[in-house]
Amino acid sequence: MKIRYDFVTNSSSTSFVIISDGEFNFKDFIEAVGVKNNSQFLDIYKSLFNAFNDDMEPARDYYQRHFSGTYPTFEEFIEQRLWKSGKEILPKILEAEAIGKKVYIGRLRSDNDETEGFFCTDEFIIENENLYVDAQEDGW
Amino acid sequence: MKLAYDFYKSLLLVNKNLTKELFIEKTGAGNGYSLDMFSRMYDSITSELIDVEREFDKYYSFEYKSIEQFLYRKYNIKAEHIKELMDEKKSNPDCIIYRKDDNSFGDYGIGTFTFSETMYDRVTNIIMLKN
Repeated sequence: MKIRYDFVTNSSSTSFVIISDGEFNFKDFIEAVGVKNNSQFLDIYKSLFNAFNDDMEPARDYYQRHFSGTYPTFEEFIEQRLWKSGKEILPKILEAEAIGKKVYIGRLRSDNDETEGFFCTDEFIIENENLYVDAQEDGW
Repeated sequence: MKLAYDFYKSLLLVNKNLTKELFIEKTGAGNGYSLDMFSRMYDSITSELIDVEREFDKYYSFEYKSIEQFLYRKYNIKAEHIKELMDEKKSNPDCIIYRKDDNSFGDYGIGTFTFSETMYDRVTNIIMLKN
């Protein structure tokens, strides 16, 4: 029998999907975020970019490596694992793959640092003509 | 400046000339997610603010000799914190002392991040219109 005492902490990790026309890069990312280049908060979005960049893997590799034993197909993985936006994003992923865009999946974590912690639990879409980031699956 | 007291309650110094447009302009958010994020941040900061100076003048000035005494006795703010707050207000005469419930906005994440160590100095400088 195990009894937990003292503070009980709660951490979270949430999935994101990135669809990029070409390599995922900071210039496109900042344009899509919509923050000005001279903003005093540019570092916040640089942290978010780094968090994405550090964890993302090509979507099908990610599925093969982590979830092919749980979901019989990649499509079922997307639809069911991304419980909030999976059905909405699956056609976008398939269409992007068909025209040669890059698709990545990864996770943001609440216990890395406070900036990533905030973005991990926020619900957002970042998009422009070159980039689509879906991080709607927020939660604790 | 933000001063926590009681359970999840704060005193906040906010410049009387601050508007949402000015706040957004000073953050450098242009459009897209950054605009959405900083808009929510402003809404979270200004949600259910109560003007403490007005509250004192209108309802409590007959009962307490000064706003310092009012803060000390009514809200149990420590004397050194009251001094710090009043000194800061003296240096920034356009700022008004507000009080608020930290969780009034209903989005815990944005409120917590707004006054996190990473954001605190920059956000308080903006809401006090220091630069």
